[in-house]
Amino acid sequence: MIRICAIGNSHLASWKLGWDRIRHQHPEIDITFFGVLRAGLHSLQPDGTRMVSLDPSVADEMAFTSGGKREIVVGDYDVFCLVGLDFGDSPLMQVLYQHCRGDSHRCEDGEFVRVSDPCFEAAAKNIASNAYIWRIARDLQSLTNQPLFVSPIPAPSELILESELPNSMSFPIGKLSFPDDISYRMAVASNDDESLRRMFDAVQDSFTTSRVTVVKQPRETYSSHILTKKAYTAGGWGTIQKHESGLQEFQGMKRIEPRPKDVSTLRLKLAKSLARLQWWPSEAKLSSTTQLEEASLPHSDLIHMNAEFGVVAVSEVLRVAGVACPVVK
Amino acid sequence: MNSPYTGLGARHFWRTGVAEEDPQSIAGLWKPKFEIDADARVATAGSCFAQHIGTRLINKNYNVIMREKPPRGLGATQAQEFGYSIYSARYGNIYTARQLLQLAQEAFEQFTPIDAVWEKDGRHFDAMRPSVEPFGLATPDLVKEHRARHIRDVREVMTSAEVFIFTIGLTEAWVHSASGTVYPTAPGVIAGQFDSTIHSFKNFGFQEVLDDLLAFRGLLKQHNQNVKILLTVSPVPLTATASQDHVLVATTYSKSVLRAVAGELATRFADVEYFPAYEIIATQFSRGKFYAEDFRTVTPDGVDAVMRVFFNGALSPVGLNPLESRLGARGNERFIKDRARRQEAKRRLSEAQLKATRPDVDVVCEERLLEAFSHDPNLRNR
Repeated sequence: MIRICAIGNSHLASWKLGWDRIRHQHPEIDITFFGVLRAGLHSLQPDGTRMVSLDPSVADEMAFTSGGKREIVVGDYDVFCLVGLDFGDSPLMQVLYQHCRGDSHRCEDGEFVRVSDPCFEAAAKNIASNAYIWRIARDLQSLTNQPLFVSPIPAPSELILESELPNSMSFPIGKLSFPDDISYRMAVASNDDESLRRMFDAVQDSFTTSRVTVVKQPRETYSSHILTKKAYTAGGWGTIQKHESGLQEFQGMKRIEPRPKDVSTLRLKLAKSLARLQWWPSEAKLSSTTQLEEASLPHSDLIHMNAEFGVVAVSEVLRVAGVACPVVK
Repeated sequence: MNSPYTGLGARHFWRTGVAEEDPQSIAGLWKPKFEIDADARVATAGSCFAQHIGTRLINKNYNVIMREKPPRGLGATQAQEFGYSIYSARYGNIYTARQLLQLAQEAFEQFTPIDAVWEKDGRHFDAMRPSVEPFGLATPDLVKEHRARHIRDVREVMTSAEVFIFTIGLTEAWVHSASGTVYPTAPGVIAGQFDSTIHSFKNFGFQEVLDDLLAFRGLLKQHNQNVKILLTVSPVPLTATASQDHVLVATTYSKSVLRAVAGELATRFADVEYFPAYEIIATQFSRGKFYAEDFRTVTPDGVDAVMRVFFNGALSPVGLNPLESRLGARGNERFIKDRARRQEAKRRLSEAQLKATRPDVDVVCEERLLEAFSHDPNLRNR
């Protein structure tokens, strides 16, 4: 049995969904997911032979997604995967391309600083190196020599080109926002996307070392060079609103009852909320409810991917890790 | 007995002005003709040592012009490696008066550098500032594009500055023989190829440096009438000399010429000032303690001492202000003490803020490369 520990933020959801679809093909593999929304895993830290969070709400989310484990006992796993956690194209588009153009970029729209390609790439590397995924990676590596794989945030959906949503829309659930769709539109319209992909790939590759392997988003999932095919797009705006109300309810319960007696009720509540969004679906029937909702709502969550994407992403990591896995389409 | 020295203050005598003075707290060393107002638009340029002046001015919240800004996300050290945030534009180090004059002439369309794109390993470099793109650019045309944008920014710097601070560092330079184009580094050090049939060594003399700075001042004032110029001489000795002299003799020659020219200009013009950074670091006054073990690198304490004199001087012009005059001698003494206390408190606050907000960054200096190449017999024989 190969025991894989997958740690991530909201982008881990598609992994979970994808894995649920293909796990029967891999009876020799067991994946335990530790997913915490937003930047909750900032609080993850090494403690002896474990990775723990002193924030009870983070430990709650870890327990919920892992099936009861409130901390990561590092020795229990053979392979580690870090998913999303601020590492990927989106921060580079938002922080860099939105305000800056390299020599390879032809787009003249907007106010921007013109720099050389090497300078652009150096800035991109610096931004990427500041992602908190690398702090977690270093902490993990201080506890174990097991292989570590890093899966970047997926490129946003190509639906961003059709979206009429305002830029950087902020949701009440926190910092979750759509990437600046204007930057993506400009990049695609001016054919800057190809050179951006080349640079972003170089940036991601630069983080692969003898102890860390960056597993880039599989080519077949891209529509353009910097956007993901719409077939892989996750939920709609309506589902996010529902998730928000569910999460607030969950947090409200915690405030009223800091040490709830019936933890399972609380978990079920959150599970239903997250399942509506197809984030942490623990039951197949909830997943099908979501699909019904998606059919009737316009797509608005353009930064999270669905189960089909998860199948491809997990399969790619298993392939790179040396575990053959046919992609299920 | 009366003598012309009777009644002169302590600063006029070596024993009281130097021998008995603490180099860390030098009083009365610099009495500038003009004040640098905190709001005045200040431009900086020059050799390696000039970077310290620019950085400290920024940290003191002076209004230092920064035309070419680094992209978001680039770290402070990386930004310096790409020539950002060092001087008012990304011109890199300007070591000689001729180099400064050429830059100004280029900005005002009176000069075009020759053999201005150098190549190394398939990448292309701006010969007039080869260090600002450490990996070079893909094509010579790109280098020209970047330079055209840069020159527009240089023009903006030169026309908008109220005070132009220039730290002059060297008299020795490498020249494109046919055209006279002066480069900041020898061809072949960072990029390009040295060819003795094309390039030659030039050691500028007093009159040439003076003429170049006079021409620079004239051109600058033609486009920016009210600009003032603050000259300093870098106390950093030559890493190597291409003259026939010993490097110590060559250094003394070079610094002497530069110091004399700066003094000449400051004497001639009300709008040109000389700031004695060189004296603070390089003379007996400092007992050599402001140099690191290589007797070349200026220590942080040395930079601190220089900048302390600079800021105290810049805020203390020669003439008494009306309030000081009204206070009279005793009141004036108290006023000066109070002001010194206020300035010291302000200095400590900004130093604390500096430590909290800004990492120490290395000075960017092509001469380090030259030193690294010094064991290369090919270079030594040139």
